[in-house]
Amino acid sequence: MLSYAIRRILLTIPTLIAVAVLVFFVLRVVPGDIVEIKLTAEGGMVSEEEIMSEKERLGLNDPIMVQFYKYMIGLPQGDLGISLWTENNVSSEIAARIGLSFELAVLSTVLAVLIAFPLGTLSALFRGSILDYVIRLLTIGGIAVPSFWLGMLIIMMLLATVGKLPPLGTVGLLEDPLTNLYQLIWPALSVGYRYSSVTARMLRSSILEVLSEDYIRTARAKGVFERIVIVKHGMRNALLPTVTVIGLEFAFLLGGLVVTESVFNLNGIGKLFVDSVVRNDLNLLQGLVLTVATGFVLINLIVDLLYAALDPRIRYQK
Amino acid sequence: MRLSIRSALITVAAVCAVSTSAFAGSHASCPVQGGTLKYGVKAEPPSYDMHATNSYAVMHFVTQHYSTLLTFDWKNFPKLEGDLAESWSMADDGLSYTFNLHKGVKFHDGTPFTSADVKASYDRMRNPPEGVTSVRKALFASISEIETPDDHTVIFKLSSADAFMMDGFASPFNAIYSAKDLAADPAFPVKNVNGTGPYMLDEHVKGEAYKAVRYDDFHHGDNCLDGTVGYRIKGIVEPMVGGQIMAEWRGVAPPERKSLTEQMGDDITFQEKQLMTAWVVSLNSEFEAFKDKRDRQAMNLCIDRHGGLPKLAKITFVAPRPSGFLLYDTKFALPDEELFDLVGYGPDAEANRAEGMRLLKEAGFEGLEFTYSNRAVSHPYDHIAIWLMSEWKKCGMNPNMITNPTSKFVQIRKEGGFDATIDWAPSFLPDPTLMHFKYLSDDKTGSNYSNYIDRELDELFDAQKGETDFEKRKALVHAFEKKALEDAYVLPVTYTDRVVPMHKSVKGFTIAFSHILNNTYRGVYLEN
Amino acid sequence: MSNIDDKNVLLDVKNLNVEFKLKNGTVRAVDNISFQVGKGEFLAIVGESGCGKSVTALSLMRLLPRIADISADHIKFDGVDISKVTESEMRKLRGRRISMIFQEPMTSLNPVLTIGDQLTEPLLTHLEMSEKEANARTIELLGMVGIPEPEKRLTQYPHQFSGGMRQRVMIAIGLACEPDLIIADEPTTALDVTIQAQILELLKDISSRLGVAVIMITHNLGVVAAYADRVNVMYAARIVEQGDANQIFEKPSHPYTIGLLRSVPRMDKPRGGRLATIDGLPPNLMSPPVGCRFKPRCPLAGDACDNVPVLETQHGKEDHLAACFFTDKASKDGSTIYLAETSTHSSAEINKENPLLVVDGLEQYFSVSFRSGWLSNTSGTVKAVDGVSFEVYPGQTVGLVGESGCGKTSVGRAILHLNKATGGKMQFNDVDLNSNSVALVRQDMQVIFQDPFSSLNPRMTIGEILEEPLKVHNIVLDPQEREEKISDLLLKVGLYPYMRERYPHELSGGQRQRVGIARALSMEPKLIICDEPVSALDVSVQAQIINLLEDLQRELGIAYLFIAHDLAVVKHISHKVIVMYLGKIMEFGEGDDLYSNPRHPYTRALMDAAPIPDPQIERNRVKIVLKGELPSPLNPPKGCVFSSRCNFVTDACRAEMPQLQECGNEHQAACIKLDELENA
Repeated sequence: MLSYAIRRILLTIPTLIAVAVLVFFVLRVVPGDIVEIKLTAEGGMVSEEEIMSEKERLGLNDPIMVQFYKYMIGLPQGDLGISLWTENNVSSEIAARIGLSFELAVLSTVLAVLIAFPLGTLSALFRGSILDYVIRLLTIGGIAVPSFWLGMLIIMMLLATVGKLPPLGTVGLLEDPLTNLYQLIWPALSVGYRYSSVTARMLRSSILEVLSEDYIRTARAKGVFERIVIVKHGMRNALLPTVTVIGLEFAFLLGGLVVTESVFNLNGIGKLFVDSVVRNDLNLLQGLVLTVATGFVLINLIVDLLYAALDPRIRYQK
Repeated sequence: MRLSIRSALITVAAVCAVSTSAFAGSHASCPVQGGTLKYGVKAEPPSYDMHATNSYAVMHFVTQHYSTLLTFDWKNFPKLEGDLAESWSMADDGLSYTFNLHKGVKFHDGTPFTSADVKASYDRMRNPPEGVTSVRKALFASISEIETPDDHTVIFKLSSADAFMMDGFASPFNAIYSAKDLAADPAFPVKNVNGTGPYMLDEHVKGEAYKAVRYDDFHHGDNCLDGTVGYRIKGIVEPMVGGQIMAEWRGVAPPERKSLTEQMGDDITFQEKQLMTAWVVSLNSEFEAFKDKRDRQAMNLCIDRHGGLPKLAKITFVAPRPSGFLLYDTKFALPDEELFDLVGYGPDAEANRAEGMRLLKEAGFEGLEFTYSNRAVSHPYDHIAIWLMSEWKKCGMNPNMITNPTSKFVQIRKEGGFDATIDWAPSFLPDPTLMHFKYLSDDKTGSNYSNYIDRELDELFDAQKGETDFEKRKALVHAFEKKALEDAYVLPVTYTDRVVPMHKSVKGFTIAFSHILNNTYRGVYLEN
Repeated sequence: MSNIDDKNVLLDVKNLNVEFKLKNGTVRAVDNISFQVGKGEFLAIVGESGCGKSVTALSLMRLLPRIADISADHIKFDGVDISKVTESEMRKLRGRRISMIFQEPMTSLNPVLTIGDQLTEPLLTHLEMSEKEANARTIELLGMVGIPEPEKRLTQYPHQFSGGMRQRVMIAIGLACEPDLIIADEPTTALDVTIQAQILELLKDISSRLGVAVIMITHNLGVVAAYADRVNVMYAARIVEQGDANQIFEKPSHPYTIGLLRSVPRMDKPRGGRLATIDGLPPNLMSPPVGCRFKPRCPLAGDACDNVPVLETQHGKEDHLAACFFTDKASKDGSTIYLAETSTHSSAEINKENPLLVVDGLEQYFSVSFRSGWLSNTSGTVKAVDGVSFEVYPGQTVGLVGESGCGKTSVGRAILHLNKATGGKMQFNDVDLNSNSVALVRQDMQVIFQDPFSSLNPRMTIGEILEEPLKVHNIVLDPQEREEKISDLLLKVGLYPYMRERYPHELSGGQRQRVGIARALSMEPKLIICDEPVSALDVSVQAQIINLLEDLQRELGIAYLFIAHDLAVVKHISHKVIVMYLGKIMEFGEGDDLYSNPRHPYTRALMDAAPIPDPQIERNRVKIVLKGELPSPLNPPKGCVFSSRCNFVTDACRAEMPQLQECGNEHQAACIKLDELENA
């Protein structure tokens, strides 16, 4: 199992290199110029000469292959270059924000799982009942409603009831867990609703599928208690596809918090993504895409390992 | 010439006398001391270096840490007032300025402030060392030498008289850094803060919050708050209503104002003033049709400013009336009767339109087709674009709008990939040198996106710049204004309306003509 | 109504009804049936698919889905009416006193739980054993069902077991709590014939040793003949004949039973006569025929059959009931009520001068690689077909028989060039067959597959399916003629021209297979390769298709390469039979000769394993039961590939793979001990 994991991790390296190369060149095709934006978007008396010298200083006048060389040389050392906007290390810019996004993603996942598991299971067990229809209605809603819109509804709801929004400025989880939770629970809900809907629906259909399997009939024929049939024989098998969905959704979350973070004014990498696109900060964008890609690859790896833990057929595959 | 300079000197001296007395008096008092001001900023500062920026993001966060030589009396703008300078005078020939500096002023790190700091800071702006960005090189190009006869005297020597220079010393961008810091590292202020301003940087959580605390030794003593926190925000309404912030300095659009009023009632207050950003349409001088002045004038004639702007002002933050390149109702601006007499600025929309269509026909461009490049931002770009499109169509023209996000838009504007483009001319002082700089020949300015060459305008500009006599300068400025407006390479839409929303507890703030001005939070206090 | 002593009655079912309420109507899947099972008795429920036999079993266990509505006068199990007990009482019975073994061993075990876990479950639930006791009992059980090294196997998962092993585990689970009754629902249908014999022997042995009653649900009359004490024959949700097994096989009284028995080809009878066929199809239970449900297909049907016949005693024996108004005539005339059987036919003369197809030393190797550890791959070669040679003459049927994995299908695919052979030569009609020339002879060489449904395009009508090859190969150019040709084809395969407008899903399995045959015929081929063409069909339909193939051969002189696993079917249809094992030919000869005098131990074992539907013969023959399972084709035994399972193996066998040697009239076998065995 360990060597399998190591091999899988090693295999991600060529993937990430390919992503890095692709990202570099694709981004150079994107129009726009950060120096223009930085110096003249707000106006003022800026001469052409000043713009050129700023470009020179930031290394933007280097031939593209020279820029590429510098970029690729830096990568193995974990050097993602400097942000063209703040001139801080890209890695430090991302590091400052990824924790929040990660926490939000984890919180959303926890919420999603907490909501999805009872809903999906009830819906499957009481298939065709009013309860099932209500749950399916709720979950189809979750898939149909964009999370940012739900986020806006949540904000309006908070304003209408409490009259106040959670304070701005992230409070550390360890520093003040309650405030932290109060700040993050709302965006987590707005993302988690969709997430839980997808998961609940997946769980429902895989439970239904599993419950019609022959081995469930076998278990019943053994005279096993019905709840054991469902929990021990049914759920574990139904979990397999559900874990994939949870993993994929989590991976999407890392890159997909863009809108939610903007709606809730959260300082995560989603917002940084938007900022770097608006400012044309190519170095930062590169770093972000690479980070998200790495996250994707890692989560896929975790899902695969979880799968192996859950399914002996994979564990013992020869 | 000589006479005019003398009269200017008298004016300056008078102002000086008033401001010095004012310094010791009213400002120092704070009705309430304490509290933390929470404000919102929609952008993130690229650096802390005020010399390298035009960005309001830097100004709203960083200005509070620094002092400048001069500043303005915001209630009587553009009246000058001393900041680090106690008093000042200009030589008769306008080629030398002498400042007597405040004594006992200390930087936040405890270093005493001296004339060397002023020299080092201004040298850095007019002649930045390797690896340092300054966007004020052109502005201070006329300074030839800076002398420091003693610790509290600075003398600026100019190579030619510059009418703008006095206001320039009050420009909020011209922060005074510590010579000691700059000697150690000329790029020190990019990532560090050490000033003499009212509040000290406490913590900057990137992309999220910018915290500052009161500087107890501030030389004016009118820093009434315990501290300030600026939050990165996206929208204004929800954070204001939800109590996350108390103010936003850049301003809200009319729909936001309405929404805030509805939701907060008496808890919200607004201050309103014109903002020195002009919205203009730049026409590409390389586009075949726009090589002909008649077509450009037709474009201008077809915009019904008198009828349309009052309506437009209700939905987005534009001023409700026409303006020339200079902000209306300011001392150098064309008086209305002269402005409305120019081609395209008259109040009779029907007549203008008829004239415009006639000109087009005459030039052989009936039903003119052209692309209009728009920036993908709703306020005020989309609203202006929609209005302009419909106006031009009324003249039988066929505009084709392309809308792009900022980076692409900026590139198109720069590379001339448009026939007409929305454009803007922000200023922070109502001074013709700043405001007309954009409309010079392509090789004189970095922001002429029409790419025309007009030496006559360049000459008029240089002449007014060196003219320190107000009336003579005004005549030159009017000539420039009329020429540029009638040539119609750039069509002014109008200026901006700025509405600053504040929670009712925020007091002591005076709105200025620009969101770049008056960001030190001096005198701002919180009433319980 | 029965001769079972009241004291000995274990299960007494009285007027059981099961209805499924579906959206478009109600299906009565079990209609008013009554039967008894004595203690330790072996009851077989026989019938074709859809007759309600599985539903009967599941309704006894109350394992049907919620939409099923079960009602009965009573279902007494050991004196207690279990149709009235609560679900929780019922649960206590399941697995404890009544257990069930299902058809699909591959899917009936939970893939994510260990074998031990699944085996101990009933012990822990019902007998409240401790973990340790349960484990000990489990090891004992696994040993009992013949699983080697049971301690090691406990922690393994189902996918590490072969199909036969899994079925043994299922039996072990069924036996765990020493129940009184085991219901086995087609327990061996998915297994190879040698494994089937092992499993059935095991079941029989255990049930008689432990005195457990068994209800065996099956469609295989041979299995019934071999093991059952009593038989229920079901047709269209009703029991049509019921009684002592010997009695029913000896004197079947219901026309359906007679048809069923006569439509199965018999290994022990010489090749010749046509099979009796029951025309038509079983009725749709959504709207069954009024009166006797067999009436539309019955050769004896008369006006009386509009009434529902009841089960009545036959031949004065209390233990033989049949539900028919014409049982006297039926039992008197026996199989002659199906006219078809009387029309025997003589074997067509086969011209043995020019072989149509010559296969010489055919080799089909597959190189496979698989992960053997986390980091290493192992590759190997599977010799799916290894040095197979035979000839097919015009108008001849050559049967290719063997267990799954023996390479018989690979031979067919290699001839069709669906897989490229890795060695050997093939000739068709004197033309060397290779990838270039195969296109030229495609028309002359057609194929029929096992699954008629998946080999017909569901979006095309039958007419379009049949028209396509005619058009593509420019066989019939004129559209009008094509129409006629299609009508001819449909009539020829026993369908009606109006069916050309139908889609495949509107046809039954047998009808679809007829369409498959018609499609092959449309090319006017010389050879048809039939790959398990009847194995998915019910016996009555299977007989119809076999007859059809034979008729077509006689009429058109087509040669068949008939690939199947059912020895009796192969025997019935083939002139020559080839027996394969692990890619090699074991024995080869004229059908009748080979079956009456099998020389190779594998052929013998294969024939012994396939039960003959006659209790008298079946129960008196001496059988060789093969041990173990088919070895991995990646790692075949050294020497003779059969050596690992042969009862007569010696060291000499393990030295070298024996060559085929002549042992009589065009009869060859690959065994070094032919003489020895002949005398034994």
